[in-house]
Amino acid sequence: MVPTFELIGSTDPCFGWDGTTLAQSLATHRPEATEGAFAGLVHESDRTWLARDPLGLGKLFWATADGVVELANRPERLTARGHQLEQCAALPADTVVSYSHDQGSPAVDPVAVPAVGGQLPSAEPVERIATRIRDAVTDYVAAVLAARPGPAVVCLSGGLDSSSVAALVREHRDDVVAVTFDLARPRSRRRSDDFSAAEAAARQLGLTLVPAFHTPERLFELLDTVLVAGVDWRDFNVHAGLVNAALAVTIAEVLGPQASAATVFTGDLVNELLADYHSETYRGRTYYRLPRLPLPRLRAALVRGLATSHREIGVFGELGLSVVQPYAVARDDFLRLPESVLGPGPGKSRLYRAMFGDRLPRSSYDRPKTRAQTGSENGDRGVLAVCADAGLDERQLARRFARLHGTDDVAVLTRFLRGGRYRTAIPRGEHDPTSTH
Amino acid sequence: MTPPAPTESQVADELEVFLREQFPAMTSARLGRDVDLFDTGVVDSVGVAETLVHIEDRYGVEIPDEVLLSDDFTCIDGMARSIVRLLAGTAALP
Repeated sequence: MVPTFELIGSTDPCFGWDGTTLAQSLATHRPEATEGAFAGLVHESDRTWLARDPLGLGKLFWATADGVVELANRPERLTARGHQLEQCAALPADTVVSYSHDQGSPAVDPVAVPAVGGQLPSAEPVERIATRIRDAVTDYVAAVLAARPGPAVVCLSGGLDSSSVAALVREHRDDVVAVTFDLARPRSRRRSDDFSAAEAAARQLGLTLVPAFHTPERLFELLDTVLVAGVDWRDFNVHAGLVNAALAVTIAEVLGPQASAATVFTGDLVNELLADYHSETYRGRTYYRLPRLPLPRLRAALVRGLATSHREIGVFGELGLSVVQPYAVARDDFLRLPESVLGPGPGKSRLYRAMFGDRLPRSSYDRPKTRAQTGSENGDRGVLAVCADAGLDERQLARRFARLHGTDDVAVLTRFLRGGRYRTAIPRGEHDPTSTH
Repeated sequence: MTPPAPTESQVADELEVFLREQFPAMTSARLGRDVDLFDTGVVDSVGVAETLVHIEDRYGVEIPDEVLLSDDFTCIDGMARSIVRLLAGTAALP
């Protein structure tokens, strides 16, 4: 029995990739063995199916009312229709659910090769895997640009991840716009170290750099958008979402009516795929604490965590922009990389040298990691500091998130998102436990 | 011969030792095994990730999302119940 589905609002943009073909619509491309980002619903003559990409970058939440499965790419669209947050579930990542008119229960299949323990077996040298990653990302970027003739924009921090994507986009387009975030400092002409790194990378890549200068007040105006469209209240994701929202606002201002046709590229996902995050300290307090786990397990947890939070696609999408994260299509090869490449050490530079050699700016190799939300070592404040100084800690963010989803009860949040995972379930129709009305 | 599966009480004992070693708030508080570890702020989302890996390594079971997000998986006793059910293969399927 096929449940009745109703889609509330738009779905996330589809950027699926099967290794040779770009899928911009799930209706024309089957999701099997497809990477990239997608989450959606397709009706066919003999079946209906739901799909979500292997990393869970696209989001699809659902709740049942009067036997109808209501779907949306954010839970706020469901709570606005009377569902309670704790009754909203996410379709699991890496899942295709097929509802046939002839069969009683849906068929549930993974999209990708299962990665046991977050790793795929490989005895290959790093250099060979690196070549495949580069080729996959290169082909994907070329396909996206060929399919989308509108403006090409790159979010450029100056680090290796964003600079590599910028270099690839630049090889196909002469008029690439690079955008970088910094806090506006009205009484100072000095820019942060991160801004200087982005300037250097843009110069070496031959890109026009557009600064996205935003005051703390302007950032705070974007907070509710980030909480709702980013589907998260945890400080790291909110801070990253604020940076993305600020970038999106600037891109929309610069491009004007062309913004809706633009494609925004980012170097996201490599931090998770290489587990090269670290915690931050501000005013003696530790933020962004990571699980105390061996690197391969930490990577598995971080990669799995990508299925939770919509700080990139959701936030850019809410502000009218389609964002592409090219490294999504190299998930399997990243998971084949050995432990020696993981973590914040020199392994990352080695990997990038093997992938891109001298095609990337020397400044990016010198400063392999930047993090726009944390500010610079020279004392410039970043988004973390701005939020901390304003008292916007995780408890405040949780309260605000709850209120935006129709409740003052913060306790319900841990029944929606716990341990870095959304509550997930497969819709089965009228007997769903989420049924509310 | 396969060793006998641990009882709920044994799993709860072991989990309590792990949590007290891992989380300072747990060490200082005199918390019962039925206390909600999330509502009380003893275990945050990062701590949950550490706990899940510990459970996977110690008992060889992966906690599915529907068990992780269940009302039972909020306290030591409930976690132990969930683990024993998963070991017996009787946890609710999605």
